[in-house]
Amino acid sequence: MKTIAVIFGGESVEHDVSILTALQFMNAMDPEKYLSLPVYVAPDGVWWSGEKLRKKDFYPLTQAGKKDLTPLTLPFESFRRQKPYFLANQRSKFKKQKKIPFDLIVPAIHGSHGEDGTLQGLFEFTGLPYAGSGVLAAAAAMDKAFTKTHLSGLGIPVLPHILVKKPDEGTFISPDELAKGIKQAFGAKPYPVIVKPCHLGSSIGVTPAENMDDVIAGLLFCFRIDTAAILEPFVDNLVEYNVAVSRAFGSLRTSVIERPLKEREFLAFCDKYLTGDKDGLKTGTASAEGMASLNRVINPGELGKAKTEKIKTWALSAFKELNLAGSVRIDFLGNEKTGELWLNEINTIPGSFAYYLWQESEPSVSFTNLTTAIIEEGLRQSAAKSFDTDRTLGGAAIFKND
Amino acid sequence: MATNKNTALFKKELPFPGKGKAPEIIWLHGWGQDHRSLLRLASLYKNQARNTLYDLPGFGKSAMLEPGAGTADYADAIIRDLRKVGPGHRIVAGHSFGCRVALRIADQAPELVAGLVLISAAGLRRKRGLFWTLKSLGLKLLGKIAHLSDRVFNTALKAKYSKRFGSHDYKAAGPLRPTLVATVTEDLSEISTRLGTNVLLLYGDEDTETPPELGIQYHKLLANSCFRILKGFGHLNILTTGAHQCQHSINQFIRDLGGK
Repeated sequence: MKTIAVIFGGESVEHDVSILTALQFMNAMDPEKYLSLPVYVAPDGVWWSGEKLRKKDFYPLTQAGKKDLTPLTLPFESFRRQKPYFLANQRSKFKKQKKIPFDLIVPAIHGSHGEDGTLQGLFEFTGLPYAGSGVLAAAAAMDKAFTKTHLSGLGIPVLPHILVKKPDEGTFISPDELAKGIKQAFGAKPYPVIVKPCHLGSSIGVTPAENMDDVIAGLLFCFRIDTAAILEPFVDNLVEYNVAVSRAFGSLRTSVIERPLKEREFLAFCDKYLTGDKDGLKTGTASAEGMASLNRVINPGELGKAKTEKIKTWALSAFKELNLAGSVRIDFLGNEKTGELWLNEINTIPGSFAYYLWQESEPSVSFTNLTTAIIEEGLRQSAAKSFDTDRTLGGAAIFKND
Repeated sequence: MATNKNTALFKKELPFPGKGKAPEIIWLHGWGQDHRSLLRLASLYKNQARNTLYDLPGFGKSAMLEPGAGTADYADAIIRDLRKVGPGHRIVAGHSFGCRVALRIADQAPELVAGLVLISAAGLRRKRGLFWTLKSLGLKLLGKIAHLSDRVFNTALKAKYSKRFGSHDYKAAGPLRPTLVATVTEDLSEISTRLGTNVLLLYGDEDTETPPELGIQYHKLLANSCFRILKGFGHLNILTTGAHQCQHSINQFIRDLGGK
């Protein structure tokens, strides 16, 4: 039986969504093959473990709740020649730290410090086996501006954008310069535009702007949660299409395409994560399943065969180009009337690991089988990374033993 | 027990996008619930099977049977409806009280049942400690005294007794109370012993209403059963957050049934 650490939470505005994703993942894991180990990164950055973390009603973590948990540390040593472990810090200074061994870590942190390559960098440095996309892939996909610029080079359509970096301390955004840039990029009548954080998902911080005041307000909010923002033209008759891509099942596959149903013009955070069931049954916990609980149209008929193929081909190209792994969701925007399509963003750790898309696919993949595929791919990837690091190889040794 | 043969049963059939042969799953909910409690789990099968979710008589939108009807009468009502639909081997999946009805269906009409999926099945006596037994006997005696007092002295002690000591289900049962009383004391061990149907038993390790010890008992009594404990789930959330693990076990069960 392999122990699979699932790391979630994190110092990210998508912290709470990550909790839902991780609990879903652990609840779906095959109990005959794997033992799950919850590793929760609290908003203050402290790592915790404990059985109580498996329950949704345990959150948010309170001072009293901490008494039921054990603080964890990831030792900074190489795990390339030994089984990885966490150190459970004992509350008493006289007790020795306890080792908690595990076989693989599954990152389930959305957004900053988790989905952006930083966590993957830590795992690479320590030689820790992990599932999902690697450092470069995660970092590239997390940067919307980079993704758009890079993938447009492959012929994948993307909306034009302006990248606005957070001004240095003591300096301010110049509305005149910004207005000039907007006109240059989007034409003489550029409004409305969309302001969105450059490195976040879940539609957090995405705001429409009708004028420069709205743009500034949107940017100021973005800079509270991100280091850069992008401006894009507003798409009329907006429609969104999402597709999942994975290589975890042995060969490269795309899922069905979904069109999420929403009331507002763009899919906002509350559509994605605050639409629980309202049936009043005491079975309770079905609510707040995140992306999985959203109403959606599967394989929307208006796309037709040609556009469906286009979306899938672009999604596969993006996946291959960025060398992604795990279950990745690639989101597209479209103009329902003109039929134009644009790649919008790539989620390397999508909400609910996009299991609901795989479940609808042909052949259908159950969430349990998806978790198994992600874990096994992670184990394969990590095993393949082992290479010789002997300093005497290649004649680069300077200091020699007598 | 005479039952109303024309009891109107509400059932929800999930649209099945496929054509041709597919397993049929009949879903029977637990006490105090209706078909919606099983929608989450059943919807995971919407592309693989033809799913019918019943509101059991007296629950949801289904009419009541005669007062005091037992699980055999509930089974009758479902069997009558299944026969109306036509012959065929179905998988009957129940939760808690629905498992009692499912076991009865398999016993009374084995030709309709290919296999049983029993999730958090009730229907067997739990092993209780001395303290619990004494407390239970004491409460039963108190109830009888209250009942007697009401009849002889025209007091209203039974109502007060029920309010103070009755379970949540008992208090909420309304006109179904005689059914509930008949059901909770029912023991399905005899039926289980003679049943030849393939049965999958699923229990949450955190279930306090129908703990896994009942599953162990069923597993010993049933000739062809597979027993699984799903870690981290209780009596109700086994159907929601535990749905994927249930699905995984049920998939395996359906595959095994297909091979037989």
